[in-house]
Amino acid sequence: MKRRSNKKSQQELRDGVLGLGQKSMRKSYYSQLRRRMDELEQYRGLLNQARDAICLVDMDSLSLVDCNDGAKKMFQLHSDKDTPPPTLLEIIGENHEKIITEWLSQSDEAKNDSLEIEAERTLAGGEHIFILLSLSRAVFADIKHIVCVGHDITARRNAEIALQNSHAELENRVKERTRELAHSNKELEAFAYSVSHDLRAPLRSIEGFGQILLDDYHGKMDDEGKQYIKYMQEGCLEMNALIDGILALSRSTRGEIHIEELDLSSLAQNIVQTLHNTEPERKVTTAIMPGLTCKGDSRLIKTCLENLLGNAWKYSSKKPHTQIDFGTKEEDGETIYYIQDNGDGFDMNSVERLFQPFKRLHTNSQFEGNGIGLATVKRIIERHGGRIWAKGEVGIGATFNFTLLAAAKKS
Amino acid sequence: MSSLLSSELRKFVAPEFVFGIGARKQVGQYAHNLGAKRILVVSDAGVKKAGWTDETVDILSQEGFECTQYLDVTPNPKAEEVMNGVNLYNEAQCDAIVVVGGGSPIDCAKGISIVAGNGGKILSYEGVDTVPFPGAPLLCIPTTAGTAADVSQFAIITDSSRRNKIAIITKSIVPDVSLIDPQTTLTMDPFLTACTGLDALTHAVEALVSNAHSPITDLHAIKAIELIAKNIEKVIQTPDDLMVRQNMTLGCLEAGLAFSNASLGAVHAMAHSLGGYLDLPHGECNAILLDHVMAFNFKDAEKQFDHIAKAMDLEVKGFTTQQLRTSITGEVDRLRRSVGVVRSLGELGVHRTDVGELAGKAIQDPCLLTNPRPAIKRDIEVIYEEAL
Repeated sequence: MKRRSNKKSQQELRDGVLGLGQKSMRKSYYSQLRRRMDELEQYRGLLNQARDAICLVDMDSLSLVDCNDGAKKMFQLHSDKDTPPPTLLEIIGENHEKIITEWLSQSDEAKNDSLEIEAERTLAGGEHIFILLSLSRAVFADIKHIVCVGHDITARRNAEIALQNSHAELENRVKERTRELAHSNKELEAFAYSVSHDLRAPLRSIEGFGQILLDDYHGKMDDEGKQYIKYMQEGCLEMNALIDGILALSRSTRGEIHIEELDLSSLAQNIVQTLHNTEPERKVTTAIMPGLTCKGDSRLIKTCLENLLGNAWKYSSKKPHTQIDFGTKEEDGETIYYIQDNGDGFDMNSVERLFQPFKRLHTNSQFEGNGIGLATVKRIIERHGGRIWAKGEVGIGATFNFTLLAAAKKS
Repeated sequence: MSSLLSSELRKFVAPEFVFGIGARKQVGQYAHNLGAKRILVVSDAGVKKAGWTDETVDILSQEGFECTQYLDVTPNPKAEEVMNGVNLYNEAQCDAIVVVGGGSPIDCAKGISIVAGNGGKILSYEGVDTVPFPGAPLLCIPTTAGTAADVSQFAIITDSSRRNKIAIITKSIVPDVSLIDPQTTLTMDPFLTACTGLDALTHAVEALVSNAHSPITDLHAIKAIELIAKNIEKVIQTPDDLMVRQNMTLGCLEAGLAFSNASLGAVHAMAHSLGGYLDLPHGECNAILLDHVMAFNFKDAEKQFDHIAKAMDLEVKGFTTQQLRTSITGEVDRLRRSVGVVRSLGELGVHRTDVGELAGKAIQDPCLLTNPRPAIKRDIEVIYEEAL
């Protein structure tokens, strides 16, 4: 006991003995209880502020013990003392019974794991909502409970569905458009084919009757008339070449392609030989890399090389000595084929027009041609999954580079 | 009946109690009332042997309570016994305490209740009005008709390291419920019956002459003295007479209600010192000291001593003050010897050389605050010496 030295502390002590001390006067279970109840009120207030549904469920009977306002709203619960409380399955849907039973029967070490379920509900007003439920175990007052927290994910889910729908719609529209496009392309090509094909017959008769005029009426025509007929026949040949070109272009995008292993070196060699034969007087040196191969459709690839090598031959005709190179190089793991000449080349400003049909960079008086060849080449290369691009310099020469998907795979 | 003499306030606090034969069997209902689920049952080996502990545990178990028994309580309960009980209470996640026994288990249970509700160490609550919050719910089934700890605001705990008893005095530790059943006192042996009876008589006398007595406490104190004076010899002669046991139990309760609110005096201050210093039985110490302290106090509370004489049914008409004092102290001494409490302090092992230290401790005891006659250390030493 502390020393009681003065009268005042002595008096205080005596008051304490008589039960009049501060602590003893303050002693009341009610104030303690009030404080705890205020705390509880505060917690409940906080819980009720939450939009999420928070439910306390008895683990054995699965019946609802308590819930916050959010749960009452989300699950449309009405507190009614006369009816027994709903069960968890009644609230979230009987279809979840199996997964909950399995979760509850888990072993002890897994008991801390919570269970996530997605539930759907149609509210009385007809509104359909999606809810993400999170279930966990808790023991309150020695009784095992499940705490079930429900989060409304309707907005998210609706957005996902809308996104999926718009994806699907977009895809359908793309398919539709592609189909329409393919259809009109086909029609166009069929039209081009039939037109070019059907043009041949009248052309042949013009050319044929021109020849008859020259043969059978040779003496009855003056030289000027004969000259006109020759012009007419040249026009016919030109038109025939044009029809060939259009047919080739049309064929390049039509029909099945048959991929096989091709020997590009010998293919190119044959083409060059043919060119030599047509103009044996020209001084042309060709360097064709041996052993060049690719995978592709033989007919289409041949058309392709005929055009490119033919161009190189044609556009270098004004040089006293022509040099044509055909080979490959590796860039970024990709095999690039190139055909290079030392001909007239072209202005890089016009490079865009190079591969468009009927767009020529030269006049017929400079170099003959119909403007279909490179358009055909581009389509063939693209059908083989490759790319084509060109570099040129006026008066110096041109280089055409292309890739083929099959070749790239090989490397 | 005296009227209030000063402007001092008076307060009266008593627990809810049920008195009578079979009261102990209400324990299940009252444990429910306390909102309990897991109960620490505090008792001691002697009471356990008498069967009262097991009976209570059986009733509680049948009512669905989980019981944890704590029996390691010795007479003059020690601080470490309290703390061990607190650990057990917390380990078993108890939410209420039921104590079955006499003053020692009840005081120990009060200590456990304080620490369970407020934390810390029991010795730090030494003193007056030191407990800020209500402790763990406490339900008492007293088995001795003596200490009335089951209705009082006192808890006395022994601090073994200082060889001292500390008093915790606050209305905060008045138990919540007491089920007072005279039947439980049947199993006391004659000497314990005598000591506890004399302890109750001391409570009544000290409350009656306390300088904080009031008309309400006087009512209880006088009734207590009447009942004990009339029945204490009978209970020794016919220990199985349940009617006499009931009167003694009621006397003890009345004394408890009186002293818990009017407080005590020098007898208890000195007995606490003896109990702490030499671990002597509390009731016997009180009994030995009572007539000596009454003689010392007499002149400062003459009017109250009149009430005592009347309550003890002494023929004192026309007595001088001196004769009255001798008559009362003589009767108290006679009663003590008559029921077999005959030893002096010397015979209990107190030596003259202990007196200084004993008085030094007693002078600081809060019970001395309400002693009718102010006492200095020398006064206390003299009383000890007289009782040797």
